[in-house]
Amino acid sequence: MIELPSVFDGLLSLSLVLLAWFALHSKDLFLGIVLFVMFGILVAVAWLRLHAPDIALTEVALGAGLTGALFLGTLGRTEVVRRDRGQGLPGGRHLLTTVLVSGLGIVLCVITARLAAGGGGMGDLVRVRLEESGVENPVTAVILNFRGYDTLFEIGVLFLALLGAHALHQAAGASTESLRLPRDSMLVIFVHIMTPVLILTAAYLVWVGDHRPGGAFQAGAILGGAGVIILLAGVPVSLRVDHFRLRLVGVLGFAVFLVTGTCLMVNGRFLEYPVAHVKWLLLVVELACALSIGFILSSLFAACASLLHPSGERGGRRD
Amino acid sequence: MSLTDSLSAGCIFLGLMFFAAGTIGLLRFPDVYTRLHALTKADNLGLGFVVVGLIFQGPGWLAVAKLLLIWVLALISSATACYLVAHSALRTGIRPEKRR
Repeated sequence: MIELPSVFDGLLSLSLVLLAWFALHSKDLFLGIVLFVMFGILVAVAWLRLHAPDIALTEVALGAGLTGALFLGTLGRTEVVRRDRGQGLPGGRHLLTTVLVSGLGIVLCVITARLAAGGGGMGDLVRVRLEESGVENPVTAVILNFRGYDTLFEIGVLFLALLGAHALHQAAGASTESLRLPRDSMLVIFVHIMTPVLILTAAYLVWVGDHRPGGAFQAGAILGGAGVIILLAGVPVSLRVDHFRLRLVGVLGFAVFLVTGTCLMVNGRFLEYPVAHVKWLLLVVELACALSIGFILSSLFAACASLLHPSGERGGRRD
Repeated sequence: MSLTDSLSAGCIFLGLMFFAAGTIGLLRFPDVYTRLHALTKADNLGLGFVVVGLIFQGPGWLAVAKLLLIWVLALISSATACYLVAHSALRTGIRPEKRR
């Protein structure tokens, strides 16, 4: 007797493959982006089925929400170039690509099958030493405490992405003074309603990340979304790169993380949290990281979307 | 099945009916505006019934409040998005289909 959850999982996997295929092969770029966003949402459902709610939260906020907005913003700046039917990859390269990708797929399937059979993983080790980490959510413990170095460098990479985006934005000649858009009153009302809710939700996610699914990245993704809708509503914001406060927010996460890690060297090694104060230290670091991530994501959207259209039009698409 | 379970199942099933109707509308209606009409029904009522069904399963008032909050936020977002799509379609000159 086939169980219902297995049927659901099977349909989900099939939908994922089909969506990915159609997203890549659609002739219309807009359709491709929409399919990609749907793919992101279904991947989040898949994460839920794998009992990983933290990753599902991040996936839905970033993959389905923010990446979709970035793609659509970029699409608005591109033109359609007609391409001859005859062009495309030469036959040999096509075959090589297929072989390599299929090989990678098979390797991944084998690895996953071995994992599902209960092979190893650090779950038990994390569970055993969870009290030392100061938080009750094992995911947060791993991200911020046990593997803190990884997260530190991730925030650093995000900061570098911010610098790169700003450099490109300035190079494109768009003004960083403020992004002016025709103010759509409905969207402004929406922003007025949603921004406090989003800020509250982000703060809640940072706080609750200690013992329930949540955390800095999820909160940062939500703050990024808030920034995106503020920009889209045409609310006049100044995005001057040399504005001291904005620079401060952008670098805050990385700086706080780095400074905390260095200060801890007084009593131990770099990023070795003293067990007595670890909970509050982690909270401070998480808060700073969430603010930074939110700002960086909004800036990425502003830089890549470059909402200055010559005719003052913008595509009022669903974000 | 207990009473709450069957009530939940009934409400979620109703919600699914609305979602199905919305999807069929999206596929079959002739132009943007009628499709938006179908979609917002799915979003508002379909999600509403699913939320009501889940409320019967809720472990406490806090969970119920969170579920209702999710529904209200989805209402606000979908209404705004519907307006934005319709407004932008109107501005780019898409006219409603006039077929009697």
